[in-house]
Amino acid sequence: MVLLPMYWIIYTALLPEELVYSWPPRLIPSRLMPDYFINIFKAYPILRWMMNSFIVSLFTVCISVPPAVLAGYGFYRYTKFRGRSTLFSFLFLVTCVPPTIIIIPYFIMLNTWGLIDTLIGLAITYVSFVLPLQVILYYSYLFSIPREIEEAAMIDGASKLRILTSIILPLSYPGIAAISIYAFNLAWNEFAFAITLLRSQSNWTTVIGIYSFIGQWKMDWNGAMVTSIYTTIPSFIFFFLTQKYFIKGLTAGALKGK
Amino acid sequence: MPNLRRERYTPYLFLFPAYGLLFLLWFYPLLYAGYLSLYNKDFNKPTQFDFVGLGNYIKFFTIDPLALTVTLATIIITLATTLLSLGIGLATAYVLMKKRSRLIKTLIIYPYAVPTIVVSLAILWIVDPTYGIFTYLYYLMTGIKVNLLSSPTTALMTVISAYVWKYYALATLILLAALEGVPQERYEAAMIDGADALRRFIYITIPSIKPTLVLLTLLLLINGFQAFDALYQITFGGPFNTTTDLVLYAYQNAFTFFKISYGSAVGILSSLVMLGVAVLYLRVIKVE
Repeated sequence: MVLLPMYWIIYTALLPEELVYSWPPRLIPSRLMPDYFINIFKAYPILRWMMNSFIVSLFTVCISVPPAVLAGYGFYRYTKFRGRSTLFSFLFLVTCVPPTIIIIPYFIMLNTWGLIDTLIGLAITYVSFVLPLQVILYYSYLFSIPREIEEAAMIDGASKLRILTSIILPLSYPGIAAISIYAFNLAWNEFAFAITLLRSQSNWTTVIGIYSFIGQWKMDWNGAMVTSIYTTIPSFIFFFLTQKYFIKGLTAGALKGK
Repeated sequence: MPNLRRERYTPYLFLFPAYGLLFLLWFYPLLYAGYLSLYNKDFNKPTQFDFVGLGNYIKFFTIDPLALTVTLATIIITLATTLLSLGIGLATAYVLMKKRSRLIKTLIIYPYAVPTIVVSLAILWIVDPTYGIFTYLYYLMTGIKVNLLSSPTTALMTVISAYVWKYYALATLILLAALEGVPQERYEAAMIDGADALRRFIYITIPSIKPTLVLLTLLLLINGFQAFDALYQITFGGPFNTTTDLVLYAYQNAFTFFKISYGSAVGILSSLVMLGVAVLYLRVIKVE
């Protein structure tokens, strides 16, 4: 049940054109044609799309990760300051609001700033999606670093900022990797904002590209399936790199209580 | 010696970049959306821009004929997705708990890693009225060629399946981690006391993973409520707006019908509802 859709995608991607449109559909093909995996690059600008997805995702990570790390550390190190719980709760608030409603103002805002139909404009919008969870995840992660190291550095008279950069950062590399991959993955797979805020075909991300295959009457199912496979593979990889930490963050947070 | 004055402000300094960004990139657009919703800006009538106060909101509650359909659809989709993902996820996680095989775990969990568009594509292909495998199998059983997307009930079920297929994997992933954290002694103690598998499940397993269950349910509720991608891709609101949820409705109002202000109003409304639900949910859980 779980595997059927994926099997069907791979299967259709390998079928020769004529056999795709057959009734009744067969489970075992009489012929396979994997050439399309290569030829599709000539038919559609797949590489361009993947490049765009990559650029957007990269931008998103670069803009969102440093502030998230700083904020996560701030929450971790300073446990008593005015407004701490309010600020922390604010993060949950942000997660509750459907990102889709801010598409409308973003459309107008980006238009004003001239960032409509640009990859960096799109990346900027993604930052607000990922920041809250990134802060929470990084904050949770910091608990797994032994405090003695920090305390030793403090005794040696290092400033807080110095502690962060020279000691915490290298030690929390997996945590940083986790939030980076999370942001990358989200940006890579995102659809709603991308389809609204990008216009020209040359700026399409892979997700939009796949969607463009869906037509009212005629549709290149082969192409759609092949592109899907190419898109899923990176997403897959990124996801598996992340999920360990993601889960640990979620369950560890639950154990410690909110 | 630490400088106390500086010490007092440093936490805020650390938080400043992130919250500054959030303020600019989230709070400001949100306020702008709220601002828009109080007027009647409409791209169809470019010169119109009058203050209507709560007019758009009142319109939603009284005049708009689609308001009820959309709200109903949202509730159905959210609840169905959450409950099904949770249920199937829990069952799967429970079954997988004892296994060590990495491969099986990997296979079961991959749906969450797949971009929604791919899931939508697969569903569209499977239920295609002319060539879909589902259509074919149904035809074999009943001799009828159905189009799942043409009737509201089945369209809803199709769309919900898309999300459940994706999210049950997340539920399984998270619950698996939680289940494996339950200390074995509890089970052993229960078995000594003569509890059977069902009792063990109800009285040991569920309470032990309660915090994770709570968090996961909230996550699923939020995601279900905000469902947009698959709805847009598979049915675009479905046969006569029957698979449109609040979020999609807001979007359509703004970008398909160009009623920007009304769209913003619906959007703000849905966020308030989500917020209310989340707060209510957390309050109920805290009481227990």
